[in-house]
Amino acid sequence: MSEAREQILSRLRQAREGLPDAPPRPAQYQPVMTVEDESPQGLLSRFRTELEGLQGEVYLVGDEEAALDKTLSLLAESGARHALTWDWSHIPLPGLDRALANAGIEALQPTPDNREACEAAEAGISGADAAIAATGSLVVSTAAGMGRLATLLPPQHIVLLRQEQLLPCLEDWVALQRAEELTGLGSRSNLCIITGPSRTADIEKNLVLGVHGPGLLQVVVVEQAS
Amino acid sequence: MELEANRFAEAASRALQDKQLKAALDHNARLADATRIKSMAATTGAEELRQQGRGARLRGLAQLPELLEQTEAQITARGGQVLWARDADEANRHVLDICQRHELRFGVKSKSMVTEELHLVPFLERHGVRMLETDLGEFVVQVDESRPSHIVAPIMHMKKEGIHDLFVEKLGMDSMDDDIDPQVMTRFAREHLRRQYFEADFGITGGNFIIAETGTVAITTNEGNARLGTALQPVHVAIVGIEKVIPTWEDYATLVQTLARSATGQQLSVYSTLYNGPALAEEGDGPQHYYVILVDNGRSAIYGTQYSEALACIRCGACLNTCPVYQNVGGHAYGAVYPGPIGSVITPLLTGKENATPLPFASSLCGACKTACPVDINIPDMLLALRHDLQQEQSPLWRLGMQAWSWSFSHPLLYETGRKASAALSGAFSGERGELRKLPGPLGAWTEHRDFPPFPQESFHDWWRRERDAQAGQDGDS
Repeated sequence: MSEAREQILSRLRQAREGLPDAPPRPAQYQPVMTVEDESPQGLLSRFRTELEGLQGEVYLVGDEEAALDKTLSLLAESGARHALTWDWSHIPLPGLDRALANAGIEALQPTPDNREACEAAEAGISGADAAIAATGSLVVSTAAGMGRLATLLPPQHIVLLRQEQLLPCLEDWVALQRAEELTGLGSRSNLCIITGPSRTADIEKNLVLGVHGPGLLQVVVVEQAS
Repeated sequence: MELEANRFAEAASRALQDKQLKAALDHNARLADATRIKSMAATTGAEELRQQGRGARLRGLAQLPELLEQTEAQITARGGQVLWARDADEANRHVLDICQRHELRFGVKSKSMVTEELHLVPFLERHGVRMLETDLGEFVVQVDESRPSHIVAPIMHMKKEGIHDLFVEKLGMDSMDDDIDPQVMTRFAREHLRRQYFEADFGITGGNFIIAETGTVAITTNEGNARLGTALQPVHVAIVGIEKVIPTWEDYATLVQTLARSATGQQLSVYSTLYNGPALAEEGDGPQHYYVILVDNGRSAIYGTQYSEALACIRCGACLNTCPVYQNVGGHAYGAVYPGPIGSVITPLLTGKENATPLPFASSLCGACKTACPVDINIPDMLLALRHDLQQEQSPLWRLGMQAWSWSFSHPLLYETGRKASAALSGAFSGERGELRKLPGPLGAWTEHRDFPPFPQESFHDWWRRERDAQAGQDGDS
């Protein structure tokens, strides 16, 4: 053990008596943002309002076939010819690989050896772990075949989401992790709560999108079967 | 920390003459403050949430040694390495050691106040490691070879014209003449930086919070620069102050939203990124090596003192934006890494009170900072306590004067004699209305900028005696 470690910890232990009293951990945390209507329609409508308010885009489609069509049309609109993707097994849209190939769009899964090709990709396609209605956020995490670059590097990011994945607020997502004793969190090397397209207001508070991450964030939501 | 904090008065006077700065601050700081107030007004139970956030930070501080050990155990178990640094030099040497071990020559860095405090970038560059700031504001500051003036918005002191001219001059951007477009400038910066992300062999970030129960380092950005600066490079070094630890994920959920609202009025920053360790097999990107450097650098000396609460700060910048002093003089006048009200508390504590004597006085004590603080830190009280400490430590003459004052106050006869003598003497120096234009000796400092009010003809003591006697006379009549 390092000397620095021992010294810092022992200084803290000796000095702690003078600390202000800390309130006990709340039995129930008050959520920062809440959703009034927690029905599937209510969650979707709030998610859409929030994300569109941040200049993200939300498209509701009836089934997987329509989701494939929508994805292809979003790629056609932006003119993307190369897409970074997660491993197909992590994207909740069977047939996406064939559909992209038929449309002449080259799909690429990032590895440490294909960085130049990654740099040239105009779009990224991923799924998400969950979506948060109250803040219009998407939770993504990393695992084998589920890297960071598809959600980050190209100027356009398309997220395929099932309506069932919508949760009311961030605190609900944490509660789900807690119910699994945080094993879901602990097994990931990286997580990210994405709330809108990349942006800056550094220059005189002027909003500019797409600084280092995607400026175009498009979420295709496959409607929940009722 | 190299400091010019002791030259606050001079720097503030200069800042007040600077029309460009005034225009930038009038626009930027006031707008940031208004945005925060609007977002708070839209929240139900804002005060309860503030106390919930405060509780999370105070619990973190109460269990700090245990939570730091827990953090270390968690990170180590996932293949990361934790390094401890007592001071700036030790922290900087850790980074340099990592660079040498992995033969790293060029790093991309996201915005981090602790690395400003350590002067890490100049240190690494002196040792032949090139560093590039990737946050747009910090990038502008780096190109300008100046310093950030705000802990969230580094170029709050600049107008777009100045940034435009800088990019044209130093980076060869095409001039836009009279039609300066922040969109075009931002795109130019993106292109300029993009290629370098790929060339860099390591990324440096700070940390907004560490969630102890999983050892997770949490960073928020709006641009995505921290995430991209740790996705393409084989090594990630996160440098975090030891006070940033919070116990649980529930605490994180409260605080990450609190931070965004207070900093920029957003519900959440765009990228709330959470780091657990090096990339696992087959992820296709992410760092192979992950280091977390836990930095003390004066924090443990604040811990347990009457200033402990200052360690609860989440660096949102709300107290800067709302402060009438900051709004007028800007960040640079403070001559410190941490400007504004919270900076006036922590700068003297981190660097030594004697190195920042004017800062605790650079406040009107109006209390706007405490009202704005999302974790309810009592900044005005701490500024007062620092003033008291400074007087105790630094001016025996002042102490003597105060003792004499307090003694004469508790001896009515002496007080009355002194008052009469002063009133009589003052006649010799006073103006038309009896006001004093110039007080003698060290008291002259008071009259340098204002008059001393005239002594009244009748003192309260005399008035009271007269009224009491008159009253007694009336009572006797009835």
